[in-house]
Amino acid sequence: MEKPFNEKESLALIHSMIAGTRTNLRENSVFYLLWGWTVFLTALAHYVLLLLENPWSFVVWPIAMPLAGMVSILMGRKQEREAVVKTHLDRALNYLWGGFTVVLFIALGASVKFGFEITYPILIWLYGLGTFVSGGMLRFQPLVWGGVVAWLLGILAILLPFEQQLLCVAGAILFSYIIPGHLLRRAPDA
Amino acid sequence: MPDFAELDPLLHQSLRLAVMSVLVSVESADFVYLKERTGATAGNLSVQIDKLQEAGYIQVVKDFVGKRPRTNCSITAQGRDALAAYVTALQTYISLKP
Repeated sequence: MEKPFNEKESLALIHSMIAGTRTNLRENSVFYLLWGWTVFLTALAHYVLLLLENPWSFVVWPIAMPLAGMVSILMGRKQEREAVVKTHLDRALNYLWGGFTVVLFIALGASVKFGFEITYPILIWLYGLGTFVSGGMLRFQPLVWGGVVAWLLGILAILLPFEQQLLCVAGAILFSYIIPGHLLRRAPDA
Repeated sequence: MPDFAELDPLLHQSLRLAVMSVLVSVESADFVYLKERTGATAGNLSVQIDKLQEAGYIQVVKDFVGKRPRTNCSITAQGRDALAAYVTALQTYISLKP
């Protein structure tokens, strides 16, 4: 690459290098699948335990979520260590999901005062917001539409008793995380 | 009329320009990625990265992933400005060329 080159070749080179930058979508998919399946199975377990009138049914959440959180942190660190490139999109997604986590904890904290009947719909809207924005940034429509489905299920959840809100959580996660997550595994880089 | 003398000589070299163009489009990239994208040899790339770092156009951080050494590069604000000025000069040159 030492030979002299003219100004048009310079611009073409800059263009080709910038245009060739891609974000690896498959790396992102593991987080949607990890959280998707964890929340989906936990919501269903909570629902079944409520049907069985188990007074400790809610305990499934404080068991499953920290475990998934630890796995998520370990996977994230491993990916960051091994990544050969970090794009602006990666950085934006990190901020989005970091902010998502903070708001999630605020909503969970507020549930002590307002009760879980209103908290669960808020959490479902939040799930939808995360996947809707991610889908837009990654130009991946299944995530965008999954987010819209989550918002609709969140609205439906307001009208339902708490037990059935858990089914809305499971449904929202299925459409906004699990299905797009599996599709993302097969998607080309963005 | 502008000529090539006005173009930043550090950037008017294909491999260094390629490295800067990759780095302006990402947060950071390691040596292996830059080598793959530019198609350069490790020796040549290493020399050009050193020149860009000495000019303050890129920041180079060396660390280890397990036992494997890693060279991570990112563009600096000075490098970003220099590349923008280089592109502006190129465009001026092209528009004035008969």
